[in-house]
Amino acid sequence: MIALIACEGLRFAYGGREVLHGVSFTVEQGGIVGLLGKNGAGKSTTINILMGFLRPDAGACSILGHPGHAIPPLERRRIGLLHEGFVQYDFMTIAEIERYHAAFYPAWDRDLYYDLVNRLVDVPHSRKVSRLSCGQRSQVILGLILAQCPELMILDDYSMGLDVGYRRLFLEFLREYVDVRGTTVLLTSHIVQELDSFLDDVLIIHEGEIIVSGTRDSFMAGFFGYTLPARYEPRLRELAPTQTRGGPVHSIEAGRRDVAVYGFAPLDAMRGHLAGLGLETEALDQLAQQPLSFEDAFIGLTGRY
Amino acid sequence: MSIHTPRFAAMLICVLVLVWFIPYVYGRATRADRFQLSGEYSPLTRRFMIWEMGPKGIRFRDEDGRLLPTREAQRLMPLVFPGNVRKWGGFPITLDGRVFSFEEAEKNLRYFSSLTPREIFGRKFPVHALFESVPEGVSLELPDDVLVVGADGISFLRCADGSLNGEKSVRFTAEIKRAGAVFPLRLAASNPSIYKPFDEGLVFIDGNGGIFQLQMARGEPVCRATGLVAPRDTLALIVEEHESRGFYAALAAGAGPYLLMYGDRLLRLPSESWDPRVNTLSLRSTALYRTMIEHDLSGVAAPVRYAALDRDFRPLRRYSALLPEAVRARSELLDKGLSLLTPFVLSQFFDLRFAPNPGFAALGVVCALGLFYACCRRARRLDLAALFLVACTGLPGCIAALAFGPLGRETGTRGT
Amino acid sequence: MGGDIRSILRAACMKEWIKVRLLFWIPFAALAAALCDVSLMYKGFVAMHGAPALWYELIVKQTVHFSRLSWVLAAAGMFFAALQFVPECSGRRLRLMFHLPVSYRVSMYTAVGYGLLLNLALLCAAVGGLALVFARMGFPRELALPMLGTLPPWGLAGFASYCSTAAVLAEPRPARAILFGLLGFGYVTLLTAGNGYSPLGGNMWPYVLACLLWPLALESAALRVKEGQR
Repeated sequence: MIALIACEGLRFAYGGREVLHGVSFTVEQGGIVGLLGKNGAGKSTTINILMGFLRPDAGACSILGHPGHAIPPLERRRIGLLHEGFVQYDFMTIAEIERYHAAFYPAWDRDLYYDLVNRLVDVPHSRKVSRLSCGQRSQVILGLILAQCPELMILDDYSMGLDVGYRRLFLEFLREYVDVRGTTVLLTSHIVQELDSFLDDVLIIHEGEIIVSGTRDSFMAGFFGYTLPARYEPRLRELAPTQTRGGPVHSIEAGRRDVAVYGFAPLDAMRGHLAGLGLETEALDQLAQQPLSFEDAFIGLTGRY
Repeated sequence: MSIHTPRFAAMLICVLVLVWFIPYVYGRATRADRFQLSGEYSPLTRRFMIWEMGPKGIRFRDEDGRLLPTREAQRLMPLVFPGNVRKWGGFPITLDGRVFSFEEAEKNLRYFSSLTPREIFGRKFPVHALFESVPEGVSLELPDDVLVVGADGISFLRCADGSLNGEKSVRFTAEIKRAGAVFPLRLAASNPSIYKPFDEGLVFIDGNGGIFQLQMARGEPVCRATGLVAPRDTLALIVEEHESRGFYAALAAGAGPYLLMYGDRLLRLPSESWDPRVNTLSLRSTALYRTMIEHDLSGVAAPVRYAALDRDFRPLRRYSALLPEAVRARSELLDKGLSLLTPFVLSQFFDLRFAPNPGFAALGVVCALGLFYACCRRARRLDLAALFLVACTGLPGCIAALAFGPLGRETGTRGT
Repeated sequence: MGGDIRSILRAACMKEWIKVRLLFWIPFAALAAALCDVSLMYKGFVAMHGAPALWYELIVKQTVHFSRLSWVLAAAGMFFAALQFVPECSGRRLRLMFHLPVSYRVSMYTAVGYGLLLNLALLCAAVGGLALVFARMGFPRELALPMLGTLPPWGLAGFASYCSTAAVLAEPRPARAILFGLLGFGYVTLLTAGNGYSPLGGNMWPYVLACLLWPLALESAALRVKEGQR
């Protein structure tokens, strides 16, 4: 498999505060990869370094075989980039912005753009992009990216400002496009609830480190959530004061009635681990595995707060 | 390692602005009290009285450097300070066997406008005033038209609407040609002020170098050849009318300054060190003598040259004076300070020069290099290309390099 | 079908036109107002003191009665730059230019070229308008030409003002942006100072060359965005 994106040991600091602590990952050709993380985890920083808009303090990254800061112009035809915040030339109208971008891409698919744009109800093509709603603007800009027919798409925070309807629409269109054309997509988001059925691979970034890297299925198959009555929380924290990333007990989240324990151990292994730490049998008997949605797993992995 | 060309351009802009701005602000912040030397030849002592003109007024010294009280000094120059001398009961006064009243002294005091590089090399328009030299009244009036010197004749344009007065133009051009002048004219000048006792019209040098004078008398052209030939390297003509009727124009040539005398004489002023690019020359005439003063604008160390001339402009006495030691020392100190700040000085008209004190300029460059090196060391990055710029331009380059650096472009970062 | 340089240039020009089409006329209107003011001022002077007095003031004192135009040209440079570069640089939009599959110089210098043309058009309008005023007053060519020669340095000041404003908008670091603004102010001061008509004489070339550094300086500011410099 060809690695379209490769990052190795990326480190970056904003004014002395390091936000990326040696991020390494690859994105193979084909499929949709989600670079997921909470607000401030380092997603956009990683994307900006990838595209050459930030210079890392250490490490290197390449995209389509070229260093991020030195991608030759013609190679950029192969990359469709959504800038965070749906940044575009929104002083242009819907028609003008298409005409403008079409000039740069030999493989421009005008019909694809208007197929998406024409789904906007009661929006004439003479309307300025700045006068569209967030969701409408996202549709136009997605149309611009898709019409480029790129090999690789990088969508930085595709969900910003979109309601659930537009997010779903965006992903459905994307999925269909990827399935038909074989485009590779790297998207970032902090909203994961709709991504469950769309992602092929996940990269979860937390506090500047990649803590999960692999297929979505393998992640879900290997990450578990359990509950205990809330009264056992102090005891749990006493027994496992520090949680090990990737270990049996990854995190402990206190709730109102229950305390949740997340980790990479199935039920028997978790019981055994907690017993080994000294948790009382009475508590162990009440340890119950909870079915996890993708969002549950994400929260369990990255924490609620 | 290659040079980051766009950043180099930004640095150059910064350097250009700073080599103009630093001297400008420095000059304003450290402006020395304006000090100027002038003087006058005393008919009583037959020596020069040196005038030191500063912010506290005028002080008078003799050639030996002795400071004189104002009253004593001015009494020694009765033809220049007739008002005060009269107040002190100094008139009538006998000088060189002649008795002068206050009125005679006052009437004959004249100061000829200086010949300065700006006047000599400044832009001149081929548009002149030709007054009615014989007006009806006692005072001159602004004419209703202007005279424009063309390649093959002169034209009169009406001020009211810019229209050509063809008849007058033809008539006056014919008179000029009748007098023997050849077009195109090399130089022409007139005095367009109405505040003068009379009018000498337009003085010009024709294509063959001959000097002519054109006047308008009761509306009719009067052009005469003076018979004089202007020096080949004449740079400027200045016309000034004086009641004393000694001379009515000055010529500034490369070889020296000249006066166009009544009686059609071209008199070379006895300047010893004439350089029209850096000299200013002024001439003050009294009833007995003339004092010619030359300033050298190239620096404060240059002497001010005085020459006393008799009525026929023959030199009687010469003297040169330096600015007071304190003034020169302060000026040199300020020059050192400026040179330390910037090795180049850019003036308004893109006149880029080296700083006045090369030694301190070099010291300034060394200090700038040290400052730049310290900053680079702090950032753990030494930019050799910028270091070279600092070595060439001193503090301005250092500021530019720190603001817009690094100048060296790392290999492999040339993505377009 | 896109991707060829002609289509790209056409698109780049189209983008610049879209940015300026609504408001580009404002500096021209300001210029027209300033020229009317100059014309009325001359008329008023003639009415008060007579035409000969005006002519002799022009010939002897070389009074520049139209100095207001220097402000119009300099301010117009800032205005044109704001028209083009505020939409280009605000909200991180400058990154869009660097992701297009063409050298960023194509987009950037198309924009600068557009701005240069606008400034040049304004300068030509200023020269033409002032020439009309002079013609109406009947000033001779020998006087009018030197007077008109006062304007080209002001036009250069407008271009420097344009580029420095664009650099201020493009530069990601505030301190450096302020410095660009100050340098632009320095240039404008150098180019608009001077006494009399045509103060630079025929010696404009050093100033032109010095002003040609500005597009490169603008490029350096924009490149800080592309190269990830802080």
